[in-house]
Amino acid sequence: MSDEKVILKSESIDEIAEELEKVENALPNRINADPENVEHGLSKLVLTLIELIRKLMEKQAMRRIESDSLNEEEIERLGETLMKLENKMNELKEIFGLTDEDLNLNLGPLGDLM
Amino acid sequence: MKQYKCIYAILDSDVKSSDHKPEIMGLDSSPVYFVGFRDISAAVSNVNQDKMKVSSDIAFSYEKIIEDLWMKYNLLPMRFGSVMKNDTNVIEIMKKKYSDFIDNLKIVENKSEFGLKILCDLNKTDFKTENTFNLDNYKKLKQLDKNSVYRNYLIDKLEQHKSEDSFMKKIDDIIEEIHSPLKKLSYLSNVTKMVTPKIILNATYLVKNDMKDEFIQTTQQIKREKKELKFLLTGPWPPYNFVNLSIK
Repeated sequence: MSDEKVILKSESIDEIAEELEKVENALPNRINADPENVEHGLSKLVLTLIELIRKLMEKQAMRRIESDSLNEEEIERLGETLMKLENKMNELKEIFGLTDEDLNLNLGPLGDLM
Repeated sequence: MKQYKCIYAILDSDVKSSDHKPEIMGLDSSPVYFVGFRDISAAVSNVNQDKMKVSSDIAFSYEKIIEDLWMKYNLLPMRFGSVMKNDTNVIEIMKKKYSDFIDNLKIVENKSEFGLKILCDLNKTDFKTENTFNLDNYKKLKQLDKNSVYRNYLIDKLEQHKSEDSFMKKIDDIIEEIHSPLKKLSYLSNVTKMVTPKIILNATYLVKNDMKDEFIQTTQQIKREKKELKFLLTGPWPPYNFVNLSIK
């Protein structure tokens, strides 16, 4: 973008460019399917979907706690389930060399997944 | 070598190539010429490949061509890489989508696009959560078996979720304070929130040309009031983000 199109800016615009680059990198148009990277690309896609479902479960659980619809035993069980799920996800991320940022998705009005 | 036709824009005038001097140079060093249908035209040039290479240089050249045309005509910019086999195909598209082109050309007539990006360094963890809790349930949760790892995990999660909710509420309020006055000054607008954790607002505004100065001044005023935010306002642009039609 040429400078003559910039009407108003705060300090350097480099920070915005860096941020936008992150979006570009986070959202590849397609899975990288060359033989060396296919496993990484696929694991990233699958783990992103699992993480999405896990986050939705977590949101739903928080709603139930807030609405006071769980008894003590259910709270314990729910806490155990969510904790084990999160730990398992962390293990899988480590195995496939993925970070939270790798699994991020912009869900539009719902905000970022991570 | 086989040649293809790159389409840059649809114009709301029946432009004759011979009338358009000096020539605008298109991609692959071929001059832009005009293919007409009824009272609209397509600005095209010959290119060597049907799949255009993507690079920042080519994208800048493409934008410059559209910009040069926009200085003279009301137009609908075409998506980067719109390539057809020949002029007959270009005319067919204009024939098929004529009424859509006309509708869209009316919308963007005498208007310019502005882009606004807002950066915010607020941290999710800076937000107090107490006000948004259902306190009774929270207290109850805290009173349960204090040694339970799982219960403590849930309390942490609940606090984290509430902190995020407070953060999002704050961001929504900030966005509303910025977007609301600008929306009033624009004909149409597109808003995306939280493009990244830092870019809290990425908006485009279609502004009538006689409102441009007021739009810029209002943005300047908001920037002065919101010292904690970083602003990037660009424009005026051709109406890249306000063309509502698809061509297959």
